[in-house]
Amino acid sequence: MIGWIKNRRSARAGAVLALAAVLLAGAVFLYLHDPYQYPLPCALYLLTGFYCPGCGAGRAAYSILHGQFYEAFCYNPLMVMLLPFLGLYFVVRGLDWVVTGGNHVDGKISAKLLMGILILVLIYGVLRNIPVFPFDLLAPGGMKQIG
Amino acid sequence: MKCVNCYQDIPDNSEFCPYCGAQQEKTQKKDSEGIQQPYVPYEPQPQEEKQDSPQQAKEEKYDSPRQAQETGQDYSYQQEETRNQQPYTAYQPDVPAKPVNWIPYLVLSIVSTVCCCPPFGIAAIVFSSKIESKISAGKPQEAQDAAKKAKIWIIVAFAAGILSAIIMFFAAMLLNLDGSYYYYYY
Repeated sequence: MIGWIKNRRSARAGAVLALAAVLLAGAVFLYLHDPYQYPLPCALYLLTGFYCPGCGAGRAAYSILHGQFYEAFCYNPLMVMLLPFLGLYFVVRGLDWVVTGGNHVDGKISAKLLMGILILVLIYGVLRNIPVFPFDLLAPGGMKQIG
Repeated sequence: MKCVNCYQDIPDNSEFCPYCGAQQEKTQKKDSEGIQQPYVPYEPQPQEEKQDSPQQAKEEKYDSPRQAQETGQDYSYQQEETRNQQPYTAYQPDVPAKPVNWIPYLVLSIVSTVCCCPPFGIAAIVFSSKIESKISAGKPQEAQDAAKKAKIWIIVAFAAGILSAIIMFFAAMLLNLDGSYYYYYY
């Protein structure tokens, strides 16, 4: 079955399109789902009281879908900055796989850069929990106190 | 049996490797231990070529691979095939194993940590970064083990993230949390 999908270009295109349809359905749901009216709480936050690196991602995504990029940046600055690059990676990788069946993307990406981003994400997750001025800007919605 | 391309353990009589997609050679299935075929880089072949390859035609004599294995005929044909090939050399440790491509593991670890479920995402990060250190230490087998574990944790992180989001969504609806509570949201 897996080999069958891998060896046919149309099957690969179908698989990628199915995945894209699922993501689009998620986006439509989030577009209609106002996080202020119908909350989407994070289990980790309720249990521990700490912001994780993804805290605010849902509200940020909602804001992006509604074209409010500054709002989105306030809720989760790092995620909003990473999102274009992650999106680009998945789009290019998906297209490459559909057309050639191979992988010509990963070899051109620096692994050190990705490790750096991972470490940055973890440090960011710690820093945004510090309730002192320069760090609380990173907390969800924290940027609003200056702009 | 082992995949001819990436040397992962795969089910006997597999036609394709579930890990790297390389087509398996049927003659390999009952090889004695410790003998491996020389490294053959996997090149994806067009579908048309595969269908009229003589090997496939031979296989169609039997209803199923299992049946083929049980009949003695298969054994003799296997012997023949083996004889026709170049003599086996003993296992060569310097055969270049296909390196683990760990870029997707890192990207997905980032995504799972930022968007889904940090506790499991961190486990995924740990194993993803282990892949690199094992590769640079020249231990491809251990790198593949780490890649397997990283894959499991990435799946767990995504599943846990999506599940908890769904559960918390319905819990919030039931409890009727109001907007003043919004700092608690994802």
